[in-house]
Amino acid sequence: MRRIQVVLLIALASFSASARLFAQTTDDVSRVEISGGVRWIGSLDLASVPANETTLGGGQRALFDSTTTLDRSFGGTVTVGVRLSQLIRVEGAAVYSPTRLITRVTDDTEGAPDTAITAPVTQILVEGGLVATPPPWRTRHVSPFVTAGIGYLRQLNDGRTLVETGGSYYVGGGLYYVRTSTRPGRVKATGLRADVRALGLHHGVAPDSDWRAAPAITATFFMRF
Amino acid sequence: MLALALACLQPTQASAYLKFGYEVNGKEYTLKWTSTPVRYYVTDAGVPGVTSTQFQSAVASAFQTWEAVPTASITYQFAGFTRSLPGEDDGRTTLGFLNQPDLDRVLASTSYLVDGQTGELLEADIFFNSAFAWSVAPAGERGKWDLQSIAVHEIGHLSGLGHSAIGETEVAAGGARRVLSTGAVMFPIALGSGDISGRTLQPDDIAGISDLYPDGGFNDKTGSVSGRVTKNGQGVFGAHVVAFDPKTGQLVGNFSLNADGTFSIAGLQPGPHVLRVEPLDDADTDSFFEMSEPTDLNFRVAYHDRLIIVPKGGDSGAVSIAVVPK
Repeated sequence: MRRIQVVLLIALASFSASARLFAQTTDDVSRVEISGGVRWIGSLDLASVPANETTLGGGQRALFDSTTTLDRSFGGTVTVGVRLSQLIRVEGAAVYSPTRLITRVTDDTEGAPDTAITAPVTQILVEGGLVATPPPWRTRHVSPFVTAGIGYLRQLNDGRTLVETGGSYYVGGGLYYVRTSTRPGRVKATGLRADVRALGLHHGVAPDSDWRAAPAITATFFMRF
Repeated sequence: MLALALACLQPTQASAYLKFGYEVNGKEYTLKWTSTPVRYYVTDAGVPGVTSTQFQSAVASAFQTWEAVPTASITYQFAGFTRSLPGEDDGRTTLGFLNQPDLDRVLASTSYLVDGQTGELLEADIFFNSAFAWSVAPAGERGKWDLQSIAVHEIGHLSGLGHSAIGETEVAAGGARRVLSTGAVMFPIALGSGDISGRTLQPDDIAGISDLYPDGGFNDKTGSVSGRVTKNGQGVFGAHVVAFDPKTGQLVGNFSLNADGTFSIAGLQPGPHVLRVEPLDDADTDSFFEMSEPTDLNFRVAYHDRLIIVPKGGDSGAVSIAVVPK
């Protein structure tokens, strides 16, 4: 939860800073937005599980300890959005984000050195959500926004030997940098979009159904039609 | 008829766990019951502190422990009390006490009778050494061995399971080995008198019995990992390979059982597993292999450098684990 609070504070701060710079932008007539870019997702702690054996009297003694994380990832994303009103845009996104499972083995009772053992995981997210761009906060080129949504998670283990599925949510905010097209044609605006979000994942390769949140940063180039 | 003591049986290359095999008329058999329920008799004789009725009740609970494994099909049936003693070649599976003070480190033992023509397992007897003090107290008794716990271990043998090496020992005064911890009921050395933890099966035991008598979708719901342990490019015989599930903490083990160093561990939950390879403790080898077999003890504990993803209902594919001499 701490990560979520940090991200939300960043998002709110960006809105506060831009609130007084509102001006009507000229691409407000555009309806469809298509974007493509990259997303970084922070690592997730999945489990800390000792290799326990039973001792006299029913106690536990660890043969070794293990901590498993889903490594941070860097992947690509494409988004299609449709403007519903001056304020709200609905959008869907697909994210391809290869990563790794890392199990760190420590404190082996027979003296084996600590080691990190890995396996590749192909991660795909399909998301749907809303983007709100309050008009009072817009400037000619910059539009702060908040966004939230839910998603479907699909994680394929090494060699596609095992497919794990789960769910996701996100909440965050960011900025559009908009350049309105002066040429006649379908493209009414282009620009850059960046956001930070708290990305919650559950199930998938995780050992349980708990929600786990990681920070995520997305940067895309967009075109509005 | 062939009467087989436990030590005479050879570990076989199995798809999981350590199972027993034997050869009859040039044909190899895996030691297991071909028809169930396994009917067993109880010797109608007790010892101080344990009547024959209490004995029967305790072993019935132990049989029930194995029978309750949802992914295994084996069942057992109490056929009645008998005056026969365990070890008699009468075609009856019999459990009871025998006074064997010379076997001062043997709490109990299982022996088998196999048809010398067909290879069929006819009988498996278990004796409990009355030279030791026994208890059937629900919570165990200090200074006495818990009959039900030891019965669970021996019934594992009766069902065809060998010993598991998931456990740690240290050399105690007098040269005997003291158990520090175990990860399987089928570990060859009991934790200690008064202890009742042996009444509860561990994942390694469940994988073993389910592999011998698969049921309840065991082969579809679980997977296996197989591969080879090598040292200086050569196969390692007798390496203990343990698959650890970092999600659940479950440990399931097996050995490399031939000169090529190949191993296979079945009954694993689908998902990532850590593979750990270790040599047997020096004094433990005869609990698992014939002393004449070339068990390699000279290598360091090692982990495979990749997480192995066990598929559902399949095998991981060949995994190669290289170890280095001590």
